[in-house]
Amino acid sequence: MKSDTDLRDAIFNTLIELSKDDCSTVILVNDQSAFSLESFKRKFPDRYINVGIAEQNIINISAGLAQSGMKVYAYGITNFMSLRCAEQIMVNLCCLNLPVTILASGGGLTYAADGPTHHSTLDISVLRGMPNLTIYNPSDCVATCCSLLEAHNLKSPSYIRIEKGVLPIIHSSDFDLNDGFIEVRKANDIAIVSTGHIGHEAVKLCNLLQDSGYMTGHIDVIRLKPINEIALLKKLRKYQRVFVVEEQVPSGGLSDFIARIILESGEIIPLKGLTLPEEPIYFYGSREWLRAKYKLNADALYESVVDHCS
Amino acid sequence: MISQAGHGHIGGSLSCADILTCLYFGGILNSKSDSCKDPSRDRYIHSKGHACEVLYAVLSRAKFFPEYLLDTYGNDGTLLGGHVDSRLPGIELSTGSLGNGLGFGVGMALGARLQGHKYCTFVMMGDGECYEGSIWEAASFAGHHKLENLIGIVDRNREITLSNTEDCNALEPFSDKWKAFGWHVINANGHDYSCLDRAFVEAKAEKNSPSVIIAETKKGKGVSFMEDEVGWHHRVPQGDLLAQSKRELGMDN
Repeated sequence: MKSDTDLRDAIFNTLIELSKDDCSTVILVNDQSAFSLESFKRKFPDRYINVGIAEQNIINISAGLAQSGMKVYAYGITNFMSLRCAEQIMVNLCCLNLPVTILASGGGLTYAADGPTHHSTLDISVLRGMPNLTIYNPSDCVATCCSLLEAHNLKSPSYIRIEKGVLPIIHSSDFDLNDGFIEVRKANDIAIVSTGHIGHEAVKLCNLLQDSGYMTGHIDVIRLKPINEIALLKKLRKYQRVFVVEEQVPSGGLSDFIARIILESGEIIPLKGLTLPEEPIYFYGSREWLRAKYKLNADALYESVVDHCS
Repeated sequence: MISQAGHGHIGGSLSCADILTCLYFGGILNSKSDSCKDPSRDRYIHSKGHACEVLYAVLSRAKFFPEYLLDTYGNDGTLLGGHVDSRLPGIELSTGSLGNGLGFGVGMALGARLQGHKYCTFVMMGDGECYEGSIWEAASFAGHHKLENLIGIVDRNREITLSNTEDCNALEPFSDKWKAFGWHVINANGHDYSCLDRAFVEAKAEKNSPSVIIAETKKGKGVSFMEDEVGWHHRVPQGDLLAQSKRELGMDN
């Protein structure tokens, strides 16, 4: 995967390739576009439908299309494609176990300047308990495409958070998503576990900690559900301390999940979640600025980790 | 079933019983028990999923599943839930959360068009269900895309759980609303078989837009003390009232 590929282009160009051989693929959008999505529309005009700003409807129509034999992609902004239509996802996608993939644009604080309606800090918490739903939160272009290819072959519903723009590459292309996570950096003192876009802060954080003498590893969780819990626990127990970094509220997030699997294992592994607070964010600015404000940029995370270790 | 179970939705089941009879036994719906997975079958979606008892009775009479199952309704472990369940033969969609059947039906109708299938999709809605915004999202899409292979039916019994629809939040002018969303509207007496038959024939013949049959019905139809009585949304007749109900409906014993 080229390092200068826009993530949305990576997604839709991959979908174009998949759709050349598979005439059952159809994309529904909620009046949201992307440059490469226009290209899909030109190539397959019958299989691109702008449903309009009506997310409950998109999910219900997607379910009916899937039931009639089609592989459906539903694309829109994260919160509207999850919170707004949570019930439709639950009853018509998850309970019926239909092959619909929700492409949710802008997880976490992607739309930092747009206020709490657009801050997607709760979608994972809401979706996590839904039956049959596979949830991806990839951090880079390689992980995003890998998630899409896996989701395309599922016979069940899936949800993929997708970022926009060009991001540094974290993962090598000989990627194995089997366990749901990758230990991209190995060590035995401190483990930084991240999911999604904040993985890029985690990479910087690991470097800062390493420079200060902490042997720091990094586990990037790409598929939030299902995760190979046994394999993850095996990785975690190598470390003295585990920090979970996520651009998400703690309830129902990755730190909650890891706390449970550690607790149920009976082992003692010190764990600290570094997350957003459970409150609406009425500060407007860039994602970097907002992360600094909520102590989720690499420098602030470094301070928190060192404080906690001392 | 309902009296034995001690729970159920008798009013809304009786109000759409004649419509279902016409669909399944009047030669309208092309779906048979021996070919209930046939890709070319018509699809019937019972969006008002709480009125499950009437669909169970119709499907068992049409041999989709054995009639003895009806006696298990209300028992622990029964296959017949309080809302329709698509794991049963003949049921296309599990419902229970109102307002989602029409959008699903729109997807099935669109899927048929995209894949060149000729089947027709029927969606039964309650009139109270039409308070849900998702109904109108779906109606708007179907009208815009002229899904002529989609037929909506509204069981217009005018009663919701607590009151008359027009007292609660008026649905009228109901036909005009559907027309404004691009639907071919057919008004029918929901208890008159010949009228219903004409309505379905007209709906199937419509080739330019989706059709909706607004079937004027009575909640609790056929039982004098239930008809148009708000309380009979989910009351359960027992004792003398049960005997009277059976007598008036012409049922054995």
